[in-house]
Amino acid sequence: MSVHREGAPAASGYRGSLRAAFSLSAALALLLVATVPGCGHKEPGPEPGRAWLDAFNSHNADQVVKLMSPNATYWDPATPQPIAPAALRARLEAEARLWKDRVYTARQILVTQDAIVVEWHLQQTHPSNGEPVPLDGVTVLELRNNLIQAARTYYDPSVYLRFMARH
Amino acid sequence: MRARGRGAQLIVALTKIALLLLIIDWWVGGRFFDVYVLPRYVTPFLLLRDRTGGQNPMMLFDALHRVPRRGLRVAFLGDSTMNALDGLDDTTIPYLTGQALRAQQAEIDAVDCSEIGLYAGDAALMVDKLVGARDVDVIVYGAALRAFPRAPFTRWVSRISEGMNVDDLWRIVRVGGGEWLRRSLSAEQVLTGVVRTHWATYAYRTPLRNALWERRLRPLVAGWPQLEQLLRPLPVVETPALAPRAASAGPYEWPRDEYGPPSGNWQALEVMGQLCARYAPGRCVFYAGPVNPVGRDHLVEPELYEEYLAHLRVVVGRYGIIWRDLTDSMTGSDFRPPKYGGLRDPIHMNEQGRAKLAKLLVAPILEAAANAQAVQSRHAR
Repeated sequence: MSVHREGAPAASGYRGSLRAAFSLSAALALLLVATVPGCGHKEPGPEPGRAWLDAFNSHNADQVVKLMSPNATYWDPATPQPIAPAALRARLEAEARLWKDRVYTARQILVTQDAIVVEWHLQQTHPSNGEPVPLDGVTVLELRNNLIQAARTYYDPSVYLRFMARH
Repeated sequence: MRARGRGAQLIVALTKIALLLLIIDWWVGGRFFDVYVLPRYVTPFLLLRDRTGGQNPMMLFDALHRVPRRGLRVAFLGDSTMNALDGLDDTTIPYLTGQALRAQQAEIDAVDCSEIGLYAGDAALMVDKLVGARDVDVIVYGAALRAFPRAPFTRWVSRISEGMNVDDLWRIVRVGGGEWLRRSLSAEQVLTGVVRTHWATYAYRTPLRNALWERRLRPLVAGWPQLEQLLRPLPVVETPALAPRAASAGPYEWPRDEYGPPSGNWQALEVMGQLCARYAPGRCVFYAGPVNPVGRDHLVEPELYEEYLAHLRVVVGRYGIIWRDLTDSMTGSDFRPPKYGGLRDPIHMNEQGRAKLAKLLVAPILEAAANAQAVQSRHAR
């Protein structure tokens, strides 16, 4: 493989062989990047995970939906079937009216090639009596073109059942 | 030869002066603080708090190091809504919360670090000093939108900005608040702070002057009124217990153009979060202070208040701060009558309201206290 540059002077002798060796190394490095799995694929980083929680904490459903692709799906133990962004928006708006101080904090964010796993802790108090109803869970975010394609949230729903049983 | 001799004499004289200043400074920071400052500003009171009306908040931080703690130390930070205005110590939120916590068998040493009119920017500097103090286990910050103006009224800017030592400044830079610090503090404030925090004689010059007057000069000039007038230290200008508010011409008392983002005070909240996350993880409690439901429509436009709450939630979520939104936790009867006209006070609670708030703060503080105890037992192992 050789690299031609327009307007570059012809190389000769020792400098020429040095340049050829450099070109060969560069070509091999490019080949390695292109063939080894994972190399050359830019991992998304934890930012979409943080942005997801920030959007939830803003209690602004539009900010959450803005992070999702139009045909994305959302699922958690409270939704029998995955729901579309429009249905998620309606649900978040209703939840924000009830749980006014609800705040998510990331405990850990794991990043893979095309997914982000957010382990979170949720602080919230019930408006009826101010009793804390903390919750821990995990959300898996699948990404495509920097937008969330699918979000699946896992937590123990019995926390709410136990709270309701107490009152 | 003669010139060299004179040079040596000068060096000896300067060394003697420096040594004398060092000894005086050591005495002021130690013995003088214990026998003069503590008995006047700290030990006679129920609660450790700033007794200088914001003129010398350094005294409070020095006292934190010197006064032995009576249990898990909880520092309360906020403005006049926290410190009961002109109320007695035993009616302040820190004291009442300490009592409520003790009723739950928690050994708590409550410290009132609130200042009249404390803005969020100054609160961030206080948080910085508190996380660096190592003598404080839990930090409670009561936020009110009033503390987030775009252009703070200079009268209510505390002197904490002139009390930052090199370590304090470095902590803020380390968590990523360097740019905010550069915009918030002038070079003069930074220099004054470094001098004041490392030179006790300068920091305590007013109590020194008072001590000199009370113990030495007053008896000497007793019969000479002119001399007495000349030598008597000027009385400290007392800070009013409540920052008077100018009436707003618009429909809201806290309009967006005065209290909306972006501003240094809004950014300060992020700095506070970063400091808590790095230096006191799980040991900071923030709450949005109660707002009087009576006449709330005239206080602030709903969208701005929602934006403010969203900003608080995002910051506490991002940095793992324990949090409560207590905006709607009171009724109109929990607030004091207005001091500067109008039909109601929008944010200052009466004693009944403060007692109610103290009870609401118990659960989040106990959560933070558990985290602090976990840290302590880890260190003990």
